[in-house]
Amino acid sequence: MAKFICGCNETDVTTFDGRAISDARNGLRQALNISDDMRVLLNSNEVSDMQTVVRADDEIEWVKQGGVKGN
Amino acid sequence: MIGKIVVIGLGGIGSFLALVLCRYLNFTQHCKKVILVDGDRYGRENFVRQNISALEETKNKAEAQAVYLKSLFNTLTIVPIPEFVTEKNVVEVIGEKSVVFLAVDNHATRKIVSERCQRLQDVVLISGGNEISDGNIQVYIKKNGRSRNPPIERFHPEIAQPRDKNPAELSCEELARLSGSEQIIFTNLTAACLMLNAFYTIVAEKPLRYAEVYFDIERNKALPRQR
Repeated sequence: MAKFICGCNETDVTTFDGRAISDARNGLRQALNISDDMRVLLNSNEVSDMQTVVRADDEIEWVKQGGVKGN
Repeated sequence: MIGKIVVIGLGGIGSFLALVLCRYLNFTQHCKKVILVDGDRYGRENFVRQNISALEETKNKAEAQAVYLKSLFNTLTIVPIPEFVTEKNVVEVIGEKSVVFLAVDNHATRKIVSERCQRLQDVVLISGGNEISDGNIQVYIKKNGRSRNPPIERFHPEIAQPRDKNPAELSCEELARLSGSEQIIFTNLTAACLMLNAFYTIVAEKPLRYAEVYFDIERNKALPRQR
């Protein structure tokens, strides 16, 4: 079962095992609040090919933008 | 060995962070020199969520905090720098063996500070930022010339190519509009706590198992991430 993460949001699902990262992004876009301009990390390594296939033990993270405020 | 501790930004995050940090430093032997850096002034709109007396209205944030913290913690040398961090002064502000707490409200300054830290041999950078109810902190450590984790902009294009401006480049009207941007005291406080947690783990020489932490106060959730 692959793990999908975006910011504080995370989910473990089998739905996307054997499918492309782009399919996972489209399927989880609302649930995890993913936007198209986010960098993608596959098992902590940046991946640019969104057709890369998700395997059952993978961890895919869409890197959410950092907070800008604080002062 | 820490040379000095630098807190950049004494607003929503930094005003709470500096208070707790100075209390800790006052009663331990990690470092006795604290530099407070901020070119902004306290305004009435700040008092709802920033840790400062309403009597300090119109005073520079770094200078007002320095007076306040010196009155509480007499073993520390606290030096205010009433300026925004820019390409020109960043070399003087951040030197070797600095621990830098970055609590600003723009990515342009984050980029300047990150690039300065990458040019040093030994430095710790702990940066925090938030939106209304969520945010993140990031940690960059360089020791003996070797980076332990990627720079804070590595996976964050919003920092690598900031769309905002350094506050030193803003007009008074633009600065006034920034001060009014919506934030919540509890979100600022959460960012400050997470930044201090990272600091404690580093000075206690325990393994830091993350380089970034995302948080969301409405869900009371924090998620650490390795980079």
